[in-house]
Amino acid sequence: MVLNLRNIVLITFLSLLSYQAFPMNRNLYDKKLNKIIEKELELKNYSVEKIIFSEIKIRESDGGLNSAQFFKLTADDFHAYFMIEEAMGRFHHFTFVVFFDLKFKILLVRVLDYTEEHGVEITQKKWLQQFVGRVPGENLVFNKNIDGISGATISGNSITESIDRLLKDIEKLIEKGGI
Amino acid sequence: MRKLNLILFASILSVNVMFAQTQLEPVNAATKLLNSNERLTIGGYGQIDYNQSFDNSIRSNGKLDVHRLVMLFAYQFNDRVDFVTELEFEHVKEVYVEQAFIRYKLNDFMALRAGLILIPMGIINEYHEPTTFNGVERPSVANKIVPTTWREVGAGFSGKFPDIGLKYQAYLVNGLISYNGDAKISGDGIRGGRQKGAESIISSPNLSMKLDYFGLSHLKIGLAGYFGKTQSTMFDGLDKNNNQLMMQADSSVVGMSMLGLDLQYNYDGFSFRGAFISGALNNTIEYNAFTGSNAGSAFYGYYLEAAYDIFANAVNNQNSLTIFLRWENFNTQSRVEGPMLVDDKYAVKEIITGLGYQIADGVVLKSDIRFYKNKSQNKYSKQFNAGVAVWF
Repeated sequence: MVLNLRNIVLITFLSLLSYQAFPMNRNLYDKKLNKIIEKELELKNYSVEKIIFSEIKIRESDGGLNSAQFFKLTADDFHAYFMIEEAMGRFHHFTFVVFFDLKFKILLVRVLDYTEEHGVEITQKKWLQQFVGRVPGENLVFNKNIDGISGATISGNSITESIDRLLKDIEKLIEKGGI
Repeated sequence: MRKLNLILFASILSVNVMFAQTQLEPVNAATKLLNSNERLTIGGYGQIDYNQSFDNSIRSNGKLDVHRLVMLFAYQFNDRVDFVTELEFEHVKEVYVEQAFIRYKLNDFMALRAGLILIPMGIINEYHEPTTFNGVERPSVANKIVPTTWREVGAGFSGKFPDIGLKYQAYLVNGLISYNGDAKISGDGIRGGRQKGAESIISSPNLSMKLDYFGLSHLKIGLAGYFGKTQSTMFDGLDKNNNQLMMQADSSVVGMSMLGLDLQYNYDGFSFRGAFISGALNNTIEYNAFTGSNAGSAFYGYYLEAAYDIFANAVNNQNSLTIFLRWENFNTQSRVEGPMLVDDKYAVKEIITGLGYQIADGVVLKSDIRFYKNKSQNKYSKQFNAGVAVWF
């Protein structure tokens, strides 16, 4: 008998494991993302699709990007890319989204999920406004061309470095003709 | 049968792998926890100082001190529960626990904290890492008025409303001790009353609260309150029917309330911070009469500091060279009750100016000159300080 109790338990356990290891991902932030797209980008009828860049080019560009990070946002007369990224706060990771125009100039940065109280100051929209208009390859340095923010030295530094790296990786990918 | 098992197992695995390949988009923190060893955060900070008083007519020895070296450990048990602790070596030979609390996230807006908690008052008590403040030593107000690092055992809530730019903390904590055979509160302030969670005694809990508002550009505003009574060993084993002893015990404590306002501003390499702390003690006539102390009925302190990073606009230069100027004014006994008079030596003014050269993110070389005098003195004393500050 194949489906004896032990097997059932094993299969159930394994499927649970495989399910658990891959929770909602983007879906987790869908509600918040939709809100940002509708309220802040003021889009009504829009669609989101995953876009795949050439993995070969990505590898050639030697950056930390992977194509599954990119999404394309399309509305009537609006086209943009966005990426969901993570950075490290004092004790917890936090998740943020970066919207780009089709030339990868930054349109908007918003924090989607910030767990701890420490450093939550970086979720302030006015502070995040400093990233808008930045272009691939640009050098971003916390406390220099990105103003420091009281109480959020670690998170502020971390999101700045993360976006700085993103812009540099995108530049490399563009150079390789990957985008 | 075995084969079938194997096939089932393999297919589940392969589904796994497929998922893993298509879902490489940034995983959420919970997933990361499941498959990495990032549950444990190790950090630390330290400051090694040189203090040298100087005067035209009197020679002084300098002091070289590994002032503090703190190891931080934080462990995430799961997505909701973590533990944070800081172990401190002070002046090499004293060991303290600076923080040790669990944080239990109840929802996006509220977390429970319990354990040895920092009292939120002013700026430095919570943000005391030496690379985050200017000057070799912490501001004197954050020593004499807010007895930094002020921490006691307690429990309460902390939380945030990011959309409106608000953070809050509210804790029930153990209070300062005012009497254990000796007076612990005096004209020199409340610093001597810290129990630090070391076999601390409690006779009445205190309330500590803070609101931080960060909804305005470049500016953060904090408003803190602290209310309660000090603790005393006199209440231990006290016969409730013995009025004489009850009155004596009541005379060994003071009521305490403190308010603190702090401001921090950052813009284009320029930074400004200020903290204003005001405190009141009641029952000091009885307390001083019983203990022979000279505690005042009020104390206050404030400082204002302006700083500028000279390399602020040099984006290719990762270092910063910050020049700062700080003005401090505090009095640990600004008012007295009863027959005594205020003692001018507790009213102090300080001017500190200096440089901080950040050579890496988390390493600052500092030097400053401090001028200070109390109201009974005519001229300022001078001290040169230099030090190394690290935070990782």
